[in-house]
Amino acid sequence: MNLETLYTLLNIFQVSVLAFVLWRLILRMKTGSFTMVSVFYLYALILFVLSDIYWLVHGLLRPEVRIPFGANEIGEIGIFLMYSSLLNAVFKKEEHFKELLGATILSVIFSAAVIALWIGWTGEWVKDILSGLAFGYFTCTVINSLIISRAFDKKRLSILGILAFVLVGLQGAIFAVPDNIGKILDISCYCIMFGGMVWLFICVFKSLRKAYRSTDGGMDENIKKKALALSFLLSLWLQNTLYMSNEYVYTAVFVVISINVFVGYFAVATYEDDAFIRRGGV
Amino acid sequence: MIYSENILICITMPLLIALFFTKENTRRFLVAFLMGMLVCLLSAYISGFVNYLTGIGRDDMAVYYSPVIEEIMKLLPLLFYMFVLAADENRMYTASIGIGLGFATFENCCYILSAGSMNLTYVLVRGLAVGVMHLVCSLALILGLNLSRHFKVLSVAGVIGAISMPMIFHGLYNLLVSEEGISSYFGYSLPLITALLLFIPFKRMRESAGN
Repeated sequence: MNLETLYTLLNIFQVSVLAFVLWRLILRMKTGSFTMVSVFYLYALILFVLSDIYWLVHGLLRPEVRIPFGANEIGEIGIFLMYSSLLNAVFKKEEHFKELLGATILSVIFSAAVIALWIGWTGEWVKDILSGLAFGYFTCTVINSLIISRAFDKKRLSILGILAFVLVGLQGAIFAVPDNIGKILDISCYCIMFGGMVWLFICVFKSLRKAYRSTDGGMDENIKKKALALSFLLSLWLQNTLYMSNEYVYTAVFVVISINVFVGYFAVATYEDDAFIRRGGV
Repeated sequence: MIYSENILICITMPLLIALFFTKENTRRFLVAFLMGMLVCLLSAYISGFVNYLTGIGRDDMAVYYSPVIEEIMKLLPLLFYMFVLAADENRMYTASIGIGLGFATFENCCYILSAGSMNLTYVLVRGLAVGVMHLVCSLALILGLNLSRHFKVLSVAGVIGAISMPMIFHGLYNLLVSEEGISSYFGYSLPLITALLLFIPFKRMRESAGN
């Protein structure tokens, strides 16, 4: 099986997963869980599925044409922005301004480095800068949510920051070193990305389990927020891993991202009602 | 060759005069409808200009860039209405439908005048597929904008997030119908199916706006 066929099959798999989760989400909403969080997540998932279908149809109808910057890229940008809107609505930043300043600056530097890497790989300035801005905004929002919800303490945040900056540093170094050293750096990058992925999956799993076990007439709001912030951090990490991966590793990460849609769904599903958001959020 | 400006003048004149004899919601709808037609003409100008600049060709232009340009152009009057005139959700809804329908009507008029209307199937496809597609895009746009505003997260990010839905939908439609065969049949039926699916959330949204 060649790589193109594999991409098509995986796209069909992802569309099926998204369709199933959308169906579940709509069913929940019909039975009364029409919450702000679920509405935004639904909107983002519809964008996700439309973007996937666009890729799929394009691959089938025009396999020889590389998609220029157009509707589907804006669909992907929309997913990041809708996720960010969801987090912004749950995690109000006004009271935490000083606390968030340092993290925001670091997130901006990290995003700028990521955009530079994308441009280095593809050479498509407009496409990469526009997508990168949305990705950067999503990064800032996720990190701010982590700090506001206290999902990660300072030690874990530092580890996350170090991993992220070492990763972009190594990826950048690959441009400058000979091929044999480049391969070693490449493998190191994959170790960081997959190690981080496993670590974050464990964190999200623990936090979700805690959230679902604390149902004594309604979950603790802070536990729900922690689970939500961590699940979006995992999405961010996976998306970054996808963009930094190649060929068969790319396909593996693609599968993990498809499965991660369920994780997002479970985190969103902890919001049975948005009463606390109506009261003004965090 | 047709002169789109002349067609626009011909269609808009009676509507402009009608504005003096209508009021409230009917007048708002008429203004939005006129705005939709004007926006359609401006989109055609911009698409032509971008085509000239990039040299991408008419077909690729229609598939990749036109959806983006057209949806941004439809968004601009809505943003003006929302932020400058502080319209409420119901008025935004009326304006969005008006703009979408005005856009679709003018586009259909131009296409039918240039390509002829001898074939009933072609006319039905234009009406039920392309026409409804613009309506669906407008509905998706206003759904996103009203949601962002309702939950107080209407920022630049929220607006771009909202506009991305009609853009990708429009892009997907154009892509599907760009090739003849089974994909085009999917494409032609997509707007009508989506319109039927959108009916339920819209009914709910309008009820909540009414309350």
